[in-house]
Amino acid sequence: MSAPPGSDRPMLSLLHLGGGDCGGCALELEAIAPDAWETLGLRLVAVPRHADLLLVSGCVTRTLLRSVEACWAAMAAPKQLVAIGACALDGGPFRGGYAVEGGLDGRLPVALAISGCPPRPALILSELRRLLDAPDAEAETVRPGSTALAATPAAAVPPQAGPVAPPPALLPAAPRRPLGAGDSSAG
Amino acid sequence: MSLPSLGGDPSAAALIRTGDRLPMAPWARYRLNGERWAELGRRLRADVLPLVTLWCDGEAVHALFMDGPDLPLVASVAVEGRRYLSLSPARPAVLACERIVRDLWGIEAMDTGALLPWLDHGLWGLSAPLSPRPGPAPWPPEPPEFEQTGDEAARGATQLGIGPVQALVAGPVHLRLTVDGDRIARLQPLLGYAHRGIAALMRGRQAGDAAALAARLDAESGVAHQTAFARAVEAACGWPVTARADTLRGLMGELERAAMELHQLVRTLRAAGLDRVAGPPAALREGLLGLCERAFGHRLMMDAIVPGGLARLPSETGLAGLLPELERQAAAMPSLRRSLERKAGRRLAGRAGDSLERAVARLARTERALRDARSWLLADAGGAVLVDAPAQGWPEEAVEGLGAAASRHGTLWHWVRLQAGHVAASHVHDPVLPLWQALEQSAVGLVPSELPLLCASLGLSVSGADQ
Ligand code: SF4
Repeated sequence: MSAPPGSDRPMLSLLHLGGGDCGGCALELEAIAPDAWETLGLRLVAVPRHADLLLVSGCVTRTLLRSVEACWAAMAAPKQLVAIGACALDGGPFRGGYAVEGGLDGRLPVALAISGCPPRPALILSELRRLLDAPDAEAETVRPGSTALAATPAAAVPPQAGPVAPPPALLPAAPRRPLGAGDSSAG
Repeated sequence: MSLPSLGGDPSAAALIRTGDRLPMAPWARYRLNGERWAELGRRLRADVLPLVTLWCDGEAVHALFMDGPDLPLVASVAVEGRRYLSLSPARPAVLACERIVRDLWGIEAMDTGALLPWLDHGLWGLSAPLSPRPGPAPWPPEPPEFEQTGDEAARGATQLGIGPVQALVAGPVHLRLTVDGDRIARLQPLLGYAHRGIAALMRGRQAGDAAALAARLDAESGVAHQTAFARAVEAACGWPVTARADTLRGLMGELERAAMELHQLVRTLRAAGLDRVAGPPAALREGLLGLCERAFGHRLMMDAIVPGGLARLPSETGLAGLLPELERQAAAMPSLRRSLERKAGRRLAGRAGDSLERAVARLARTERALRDARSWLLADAGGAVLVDAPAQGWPEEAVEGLGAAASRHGTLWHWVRLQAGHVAASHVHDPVLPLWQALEQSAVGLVPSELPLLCASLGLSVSGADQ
């Protein structure tokens, strides 16, 4: 296994799963240049079997639920799950719809939630770095043999500030969040 | 059958205008009786009148035609016994709309054969979710069915499923390929995984709040969706917007288009394994998004446009920074094109249709969008950007409006019916939907490994199609 430049950590593989959403978070992920991923020690893959990290953007629609669970189950432990944006955590602006199951929160063990609608690419990168640098005990890592459906620990999230945060009706009500800082794309 | 008082004009548009004129703004909507609707279906076989989209509000089915480049014409027919007469035999492109009407309302199109579901995979826990009395969930949910012709089976063609979790397009979709020899003989997309039920989420919401959902229909055309939605509401309520709000909407729309064209180019180059060549257009796009954030407070300009104008004044320093950058980027396009042809020509030319031609066309569209953005910017004369909605007042009675805006794939349309300022019914037409049908055709004859390039260079998105 190769190591990221200037680090003794092995390269990790990352799979992005886009859920039911506006695609804003996916756009911000794509805005991250390939060499920025590499610097972080991450390589993008297309198959769950090869992934160490699963990055989910968008909400878990009822139609997609089985695929999300299957994707997570197909990843070999140790593995970590990252929720990007309000949708992925709890359904965000689409919560409560007949077609929407919600987010990952309470369903799968989220190691890192990056809030925002969407979060900026720079925030996504810095939060991922924090996750990768965190001692294992801090973030939730699913190890071989541990149960994959543990609830995530609760933590209060600061309200999203800034003039461009979506109207209150659309904001998730204080999502529970294990590790990560909040930010909207507000300037 | 005899139809009284139709006059001498045999065109479909003339027939529509014989219906009862209903007060939709700013263009009229015509209600046809069942007999005239049937005649419309017949005339459409010989008439070229383009049909853009078709939708339902539970009581009637509406069809939006274009009777000229800037002249929408809407025909409606009452739903009787949960059915209406299909228009897809004459206009196959609205087959997807008829399948969506059936999925959302449980209302069937007659005379078009059995409609397969388009959005509903049987997992919502109910059927016909928009209907006043949704039905029970079909149980057990049926796995998606894909037809294989006897001929294909006889030739030993194999079927291959990709997705819904896949890396071909952003967003979840399942593609079923029939591969004959080493070529794609058929491609059938299965959409619906990203369906969030936006029409239901909008319903009952105050029109000002619903704008935030319009901004999140599809981030790739977020400004266009916000603009079309705001225009529909403004038309319905008879509200003016300030000249400045209109100008800045135009500016934001062109900025979005330029940024998206560049992004599609980046996707295409990355799909072809040309990460390095993708660097310069990606950097230009980042530059644009940074400017959008400084001027309008958000990289993707979400929550910037509301019914009545803009949500807030733009930053003057942000706007001032735009002009030199727009000029610099427009001037950089010819050299970007030359380097693209030099470095990516061989990898793209003649592949997946012609990806090089599409990439070069993208650069031309980027340049045009940058120049149009500059013109809008120069036309901005300052002033207020919002005519206060509460001051204008929401009409108490039911009002209807239709709004349009240019998006990267063509014109998109929003239709709303408001009651005391709240959304009673709505419909969105995103021109990305017919692109999915186009994919079925353009994939035929390619080798499967060209599919990523084709998807990237067509610029498909799931969000706008699924809603
Ligand atoms: S969190 Fe916001 S930006 Fe991200 S996908 Fe959801 S609606 Fe779009």
